[in-house]
Amino acid sequence: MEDQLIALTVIFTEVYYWITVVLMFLIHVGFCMYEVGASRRKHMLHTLMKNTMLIPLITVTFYYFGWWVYWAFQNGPGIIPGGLKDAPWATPWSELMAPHKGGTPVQGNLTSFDTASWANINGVFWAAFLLFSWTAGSIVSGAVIERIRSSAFWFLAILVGSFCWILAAAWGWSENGWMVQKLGYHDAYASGVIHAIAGGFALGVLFQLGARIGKFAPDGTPRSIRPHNPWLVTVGLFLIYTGFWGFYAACNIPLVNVGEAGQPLFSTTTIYVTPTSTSAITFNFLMSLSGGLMVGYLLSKGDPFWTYSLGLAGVIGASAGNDLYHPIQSMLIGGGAAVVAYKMHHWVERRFLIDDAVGAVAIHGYAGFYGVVVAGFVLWGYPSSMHADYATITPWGQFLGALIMFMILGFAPGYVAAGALRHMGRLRVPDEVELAGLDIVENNKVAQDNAAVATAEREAVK
Amino acid sequence: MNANIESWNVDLTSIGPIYPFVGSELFFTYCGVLSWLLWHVIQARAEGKELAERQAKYSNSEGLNSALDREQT
Repeated sequence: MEDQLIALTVIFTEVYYWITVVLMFLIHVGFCMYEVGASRRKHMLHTLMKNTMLIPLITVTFYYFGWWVYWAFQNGPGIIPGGLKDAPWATPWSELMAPHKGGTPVQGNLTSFDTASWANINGVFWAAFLLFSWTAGSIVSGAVIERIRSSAFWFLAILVGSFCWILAAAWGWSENGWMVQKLGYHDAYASGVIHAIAGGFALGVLFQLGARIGKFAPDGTPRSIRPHNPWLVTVGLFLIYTGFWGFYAACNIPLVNVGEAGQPLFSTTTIYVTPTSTSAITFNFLMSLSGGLMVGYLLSKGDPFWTYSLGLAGVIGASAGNDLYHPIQSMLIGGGAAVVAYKMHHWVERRFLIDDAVGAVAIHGYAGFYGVVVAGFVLWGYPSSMHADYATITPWGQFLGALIMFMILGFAPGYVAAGALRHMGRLRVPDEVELAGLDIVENNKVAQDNAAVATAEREAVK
Repeated sequence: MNANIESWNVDLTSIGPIYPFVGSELFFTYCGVLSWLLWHVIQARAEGKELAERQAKYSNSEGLNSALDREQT
């Protein structure tokens, strides 16, 4: 009976994560639509392919090293003794990174416990984390449209998607990460470990990349470069909302026995294995989205682009504590995130002449940073994990955690890597190509083809 | 024959890896990593060449103005 219960739990968990992966695919569809809609016609195809190709590139690198980073680096940079953790199920040459039935291992560094535990879960768990990696890359992608070289972007996307964010997850988004143990870091739905990191990374890249030609007037006043297709932008954002349901579900572990010995009690838990419920996060996802949308509408005077985006900022701002908040707290925190993101975007744009084409740094970076910090005050004193000896949640632990996410694992690597590419002359497309349009050759071909067909049609009329 | 499984009519709980060429995982990894790096080299070279050609084509203001005019229409 107990064996059957374990088998059912494993199969349920396997299917659960698989479904979250399918839902999260919609995030990427949404990001592609959003970016293509936000770009000008002369750059559309380049914009689409830049974002599309991060899918295979982050996927293969996450297979080669990203998954291993998550399990191996949880002790942090020498803060907890033990160095790199052993994770033989996560190396690309492991038999458990392939079809496996969970029986006797062939490789000597694996045990029967490893194979029984991981055979059915490894692929779907890997994929759920991988889809977060795509999101991290995609957040950066929107900020840099219309002037970055694809080759440079893909290198940066791999850096943020297969290393920076997953290192952050190892440190602060795992049951035994050093930030959880020592700082009481709590970030249940990844305000910091995905959004603040990717937003900070994008800001670092933007400092090196510079603005699109014509974005700023000589006196520094920003000009509005309008989306060529606002419908694509808004439908894209709707799809991101939809995929976000999968993201939230994927942040949970669906079925864990949290009961005492001999008295099993099954519950959904966060990634920290602390109890929550799908019902709780459904309340809070919708209420924080509503807070962001309501405040976003007022702030932007009903501008669709900003209203939708600030709805997303609302969710992101409340995500760190959405496992525990009261729904009305979540709504108010979401509204606050919209204010922070909107005001910071315009202040940074004018002060530093930063051209963030889709507001990605604001929606993800500033709202994510704010979300981590606010959770420190609202959840002050809560246990960060089931381990009694781990630090509790505090404002200072969360503030330090937010700085680590946004600045150390986000901004700094983005700034340095983009700076290196810039130094080599490999970051930005030539001005002539940017002005003519990244799709100029393709568009000319389309015009020629259309002209040829039109000529043939006129001849048919005669 | 590359089959790692000769029959499914066995105690399934004893079966481990089911993919072909078990024992070659490290070789697969080398192949995968090399093909990934090679892809970047090929793509970056092609992109560099393509951008240089386009830059040369639109280096005069006449060609650029014509492209910008088309964009506005």
